[in-house]
Amino acid sequence: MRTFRLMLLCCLLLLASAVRGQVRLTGLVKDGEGKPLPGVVVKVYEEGASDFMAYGLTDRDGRYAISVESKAARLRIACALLGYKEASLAVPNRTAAHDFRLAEAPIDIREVTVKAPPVNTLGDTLIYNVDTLRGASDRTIEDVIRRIPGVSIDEAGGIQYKGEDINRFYIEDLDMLGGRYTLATQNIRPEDVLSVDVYENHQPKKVLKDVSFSKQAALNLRLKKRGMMRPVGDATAGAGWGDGATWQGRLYALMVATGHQHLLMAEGNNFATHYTSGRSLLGGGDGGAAAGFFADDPFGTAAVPAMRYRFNRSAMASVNNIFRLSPDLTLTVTADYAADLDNYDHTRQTDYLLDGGRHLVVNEQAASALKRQQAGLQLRWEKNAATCYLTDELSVRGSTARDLFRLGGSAAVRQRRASDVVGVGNRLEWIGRKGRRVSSVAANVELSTTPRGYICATDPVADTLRVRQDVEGLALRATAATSLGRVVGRRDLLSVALGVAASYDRLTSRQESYAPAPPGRNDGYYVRTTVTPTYSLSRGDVSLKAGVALTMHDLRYRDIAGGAAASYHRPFVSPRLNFFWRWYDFCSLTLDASYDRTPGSFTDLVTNAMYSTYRDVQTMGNGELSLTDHFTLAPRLNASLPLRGLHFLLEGRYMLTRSDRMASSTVDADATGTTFVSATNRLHLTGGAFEVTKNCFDIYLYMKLRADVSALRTHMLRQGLRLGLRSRTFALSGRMEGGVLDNRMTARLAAAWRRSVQTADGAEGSRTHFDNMNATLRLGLFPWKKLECYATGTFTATETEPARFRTDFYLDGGIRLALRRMELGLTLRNLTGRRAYVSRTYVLTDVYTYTYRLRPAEGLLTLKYKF
Amino acid sequence: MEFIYEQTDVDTVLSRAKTNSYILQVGRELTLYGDYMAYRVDSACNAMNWQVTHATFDSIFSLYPSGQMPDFLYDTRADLFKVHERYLFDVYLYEDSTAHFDWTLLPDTTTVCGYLCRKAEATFRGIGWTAWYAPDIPMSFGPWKLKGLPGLVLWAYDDKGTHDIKLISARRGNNCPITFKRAGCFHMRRERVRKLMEKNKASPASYKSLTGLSVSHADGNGNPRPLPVKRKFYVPYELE
Repeated sequence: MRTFRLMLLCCLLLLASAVRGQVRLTGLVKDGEGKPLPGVVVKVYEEGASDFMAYGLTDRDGRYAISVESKAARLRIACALLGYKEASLAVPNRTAAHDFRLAEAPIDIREVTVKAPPVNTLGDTLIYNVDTLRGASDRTIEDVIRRIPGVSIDEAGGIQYKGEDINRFYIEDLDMLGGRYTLATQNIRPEDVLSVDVYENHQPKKVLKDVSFSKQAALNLRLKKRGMMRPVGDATAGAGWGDGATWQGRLYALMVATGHQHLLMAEGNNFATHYTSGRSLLGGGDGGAAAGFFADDPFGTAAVPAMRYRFNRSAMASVNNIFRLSPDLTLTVTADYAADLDNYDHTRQTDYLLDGGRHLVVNEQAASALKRQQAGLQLRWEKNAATCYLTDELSVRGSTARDLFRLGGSAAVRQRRASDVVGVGNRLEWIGRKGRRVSSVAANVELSTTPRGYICATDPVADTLRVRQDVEGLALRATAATSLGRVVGRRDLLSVALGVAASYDRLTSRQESYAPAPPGRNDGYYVRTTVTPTYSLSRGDVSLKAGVALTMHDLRYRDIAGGAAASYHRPFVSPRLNFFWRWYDFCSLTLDASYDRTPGSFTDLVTNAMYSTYRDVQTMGNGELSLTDHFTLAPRLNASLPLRGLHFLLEGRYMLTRSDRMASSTVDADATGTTFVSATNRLHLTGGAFEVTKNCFDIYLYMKLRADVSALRTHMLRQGLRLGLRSRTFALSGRMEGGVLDNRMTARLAAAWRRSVQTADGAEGSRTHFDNMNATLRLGLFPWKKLECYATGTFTATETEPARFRTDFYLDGGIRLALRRMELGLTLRNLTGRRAYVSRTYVLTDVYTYTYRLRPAEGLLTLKYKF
Repeated sequence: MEFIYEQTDVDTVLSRAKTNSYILQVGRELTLYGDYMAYRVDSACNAMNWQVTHATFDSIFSLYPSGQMPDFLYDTRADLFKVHERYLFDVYLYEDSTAHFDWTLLPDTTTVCGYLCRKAEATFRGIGWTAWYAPDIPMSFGPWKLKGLPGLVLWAYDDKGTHDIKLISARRGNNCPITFKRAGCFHMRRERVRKLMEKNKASPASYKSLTGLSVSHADGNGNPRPLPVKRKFYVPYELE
């Protein structure tokens, strides 16, 4: 009876479990090599369901066992583990064993940071998290980069790190823009950037890694994932009122993908943004004597930004592409066009120092109309591998200028200027490394021609020609260099470089005036052959590079019209030394010293007088080669604690130039003539700077203090009298920016004081000095997150007479409302309605006082669409 | 993979809270949950191949001040925790093979760091835990000793509001090796370590180092001062 009851109980239990659908699923999970995988997440679903009903984890032997209750006919088992491809299997709903084999797969996890410390370090790379570093009023990534300790950015947007220009600017480790990285820094939004990496002591050529030490740094932008694989940018349209209607249009698009990047920019405005003043910030070539003879601003440049006084119509377009053809191979194609039509008015009062303490004051009122265009095309192919670096860069550039200056004051003159310059260049470089031997070959050819360049000054009242000066020129530059090196010891390098630099110049000039001078024709060549043995020593934190260049100078210049010629065929030894020492990981001392000689220049044989403006006559040479020796010494001490946001810089510089010629100028009411005479002249330039910056990341406070001092001593002739010129400049500047109330209010304050002192020994009563001061305060207010109101006040004080200051105050402001993808902006300028700006400056012995007519109060309303 | 958490502990006796950053380094067979500042010291030294002088190490250490945080090394194959606890001169090391959570899965969802998370609850050694795990990250562990869920734990807190651990950053690792020191530690059982830590924190004056070193306080002239009797900040993660 008892046995029967027991059997009945078991049957009932079995029946119950069968009715309830409880099954037990077991199995073994292995990896691709057959090893058991512990910790695998095993989930069981009813077939077709999205939520799992039970789960289990594999044990140390890779086994799982899961009990499941379900009425479904079929179940699905899914196995997942990070680093492996998920596997799933549909199985009948009954107790059984099911084994799995998981194949390895790349980890596919979104990288995300909600809250991050501002700085990470990894060897020589500092990684600045942008979201933590940025301020509320930052518009572009340049505003964020500016706050990185050790970084300074000049007015053109050029970035320096610890006093040295950066040598590369990367976006996702690709160098698309070369020296034109302001296209990125002044346009990319901070919200699209994840981090800014600073590659300290960056050697961009992999083949020279650990062999050639670099003092320069590079910057790399890492974009947020949402900014990759799709175009990001903005389109803007704006209209307003000022001195007539104001307008602006802009399209900016950046696309960054794994194997290619593209940047397109097109912009136009008459709201004082200029495009032709940009330059390549990582080097460039010259166009010869003719290309640079007529100055872009012949009647002075303003200390006030161009946006205050130039009435413009400007347009630009830029297309930049880089393609990664293989891991080490890239192709870059860029094309640019820019055009500026400017009008501006200013007066220039020039106080010339004459003999016997006399002065001559010349007043000029100029109404200028400038028309400038630039275009360029560049192709660069680069292979950057660990054993070989090979690059070829072809570029074609052209620029035109058509300017008109209407002058009044001391003399009524209308001066036209035209200039066309076309240049084409090719640069080839190869560096190879095999074991301990490093070899290199570099060849660079540049041809620049100035087929047309002239000024034509007329008397508008009498409608007569005052002077017409034409210049045409050609410049050909070719360099070829090769080097052989051998790694000595662990990281030292002994190398010998052989280089040949050849140049050919031609200059033709013609002049028509009241007293015309004979035309000029000059040409000449200069070949410089250099052998430079160099020893680069690297001992832990110390690096020393010492080289002695043995140069053979061969040149011959001709004054064809004058029947003169000059030659120089001699060798010269030029030593140079670069020393770098890093200690405590945050301090570094560098010392650069060099001694060099140039045997003369092409313009030494240009002895015919040429007009650069209606009253400035230049004679560039004195018919003899001017031998010039240069000695430079530049120590620099850097201390940087990036994680604490601290940076110190102390630097000095000394330059001595000794030459065989001296500048001589004569001034009268009608003309200023500059010539050169044979005389020994020395120029001493001494300077120093101290800078400290502190960035308090936690409270968004940034501070910078800088002091500069420089002194110049040289001699010159004025009115036949020898004058000893001593000029000293002292400058103190500070900058502070921060936010309060959880960054709802931001402030940026910059102030600078500058004293210029000048004495001309040999001229009575020549000691003069004047002070300039300026301060700018920008306040930003965020009443709520999407709305920014800002105002900028600029105060300037210029000492126009001893102890008398002319003060000016400018007020600009604006409102910015961000609504998801749209942004509405109102920009207001010169709300105080100032119409004139005055500045003074020394140029050698003379004092120039400028008064510029400013743009009136004006505004522009813009609508931006962000994508 | 590396996951950085922000861990907030509240000492209800002292009425103080402390927030520290921890990093969970995930390898094939080992995971390590430890102090993020100590990780950065190791990372900086690793970048120099550990060719660092004492001065260099001191300067790096001063940049990343570490506060004697515990480390938790989990061996996924052995299902075993090895834990460092620190107090002044002493480093205690214990193994824990019985850290098992009996989770109750709940249907609630939330988002942490952009990841969809599901809720689970369990009581572990006297403390009730709520954990939010991400099914999209198929790893069965998380910060501290939290494990056994079908996804990485991104956020967890206890029922008394004294512990809160939340993910703030997820990233690929930078190949920094997982290091866990065994030499120089006092090996003992978990319960003994727990009692020692409780005693040292509650009454620091009674602390006696197992190394034999003694702690004394002195003023600026070297005159001895009495040892502090004030309780130190202490919020246990296990009550039994």
